[in-house]
Amino acid sequence: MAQNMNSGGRDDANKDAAGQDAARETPDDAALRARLDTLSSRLDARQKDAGTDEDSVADLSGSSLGKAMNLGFRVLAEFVAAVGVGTLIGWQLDAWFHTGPILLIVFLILGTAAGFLNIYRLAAGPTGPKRG
Amino acid sequence: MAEESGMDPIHQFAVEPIVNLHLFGINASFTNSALFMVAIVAIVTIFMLVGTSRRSLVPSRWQSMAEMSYEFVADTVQLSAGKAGMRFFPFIFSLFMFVLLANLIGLVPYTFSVTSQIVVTAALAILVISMVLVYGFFKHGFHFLKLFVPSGVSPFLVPFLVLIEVISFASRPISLSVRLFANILAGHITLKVMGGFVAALLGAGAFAILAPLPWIATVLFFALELLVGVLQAYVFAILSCVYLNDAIHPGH
Repeated sequence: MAQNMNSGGRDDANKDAAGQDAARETPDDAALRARLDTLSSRLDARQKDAGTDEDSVADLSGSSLGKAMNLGFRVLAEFVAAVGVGTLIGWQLDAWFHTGPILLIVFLILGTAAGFLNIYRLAAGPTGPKRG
Repeated sequence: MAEESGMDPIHQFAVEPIVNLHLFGINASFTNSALFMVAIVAIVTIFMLVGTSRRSLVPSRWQSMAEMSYEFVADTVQLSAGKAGMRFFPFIFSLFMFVLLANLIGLVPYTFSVTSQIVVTAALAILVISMVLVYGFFKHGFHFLKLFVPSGVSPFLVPFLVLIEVISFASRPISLSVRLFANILAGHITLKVMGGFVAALLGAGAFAILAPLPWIATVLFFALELLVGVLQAYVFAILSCVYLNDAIHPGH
């Protein structure tokens, strides 16, 4: 650290001083520095591994274009399906009870709400295995 | 009309009987669709049998492919349905391999893509949802209905929310089947139309210079369709797991 600051700040004038710093290091310091270096390099390797892991998870669902298209199709299908199901239920109930368009309108609204619920669930992500 | 049939983008989806069969007034003909379904099942079976026949410690190519597909689906099932979901692993694995093979084989020219028929995808989705219902009621009895009652809501809102949840549940098989069917259908029509552009431009005199453009687009779309085919099989499998998870652990 001290070496870095010295060489970074006033490199030309203090080159000798930096050299003296390094010379003054005790064997303990050198061992500590070596240990720190290996630790940081291992940490770097670990982080790189974690990074590639994340990448592979992202690659699992394809490149960005395919992923985005897939998500778009899913949102569309979920929403349209819910609205369609709500409308169908309302229509059929109207036909059975002869209640005019009232139930159709009510179930159309409910179906739209269900569509938004579906999209919310999609955006919130799968909850994974529940306990209990 | 006869020379146009090669350019007709819908013609590829026609179901034609190979062996005519009428049982008790039901048209049970063996069609090209049925032929490809049998072929897919046969290919998956042979693939898994060959892959697991040797069982060496250092896997051969076939064995490692079979193991990779096994581990991929097993990870998917455990991630979204937990350890208890592993009892559905044979079902999900069959489903995934069938849809994957159907999507991939359908991309080979002159073949028939089974998953572009909504009858097939709807049958698969109904199978999944009826499994959810049967297993849910079998395992939890009427407690399974708690799936439709969100907890911690004021009593005035519960009837509306139950209706919304029921509609949301009823829309699942539809969105599951329509998504797969629409993706494959749209992709195949796009490929066919782009291919038709190439042929039409080549026959249009000086405009033949432009013919490579749709040809490049066809190649790019083909790569995209490969991706979409694999992705849709994966999505179908993972959504089946998510729905089965509801049957294993009902209630929010």
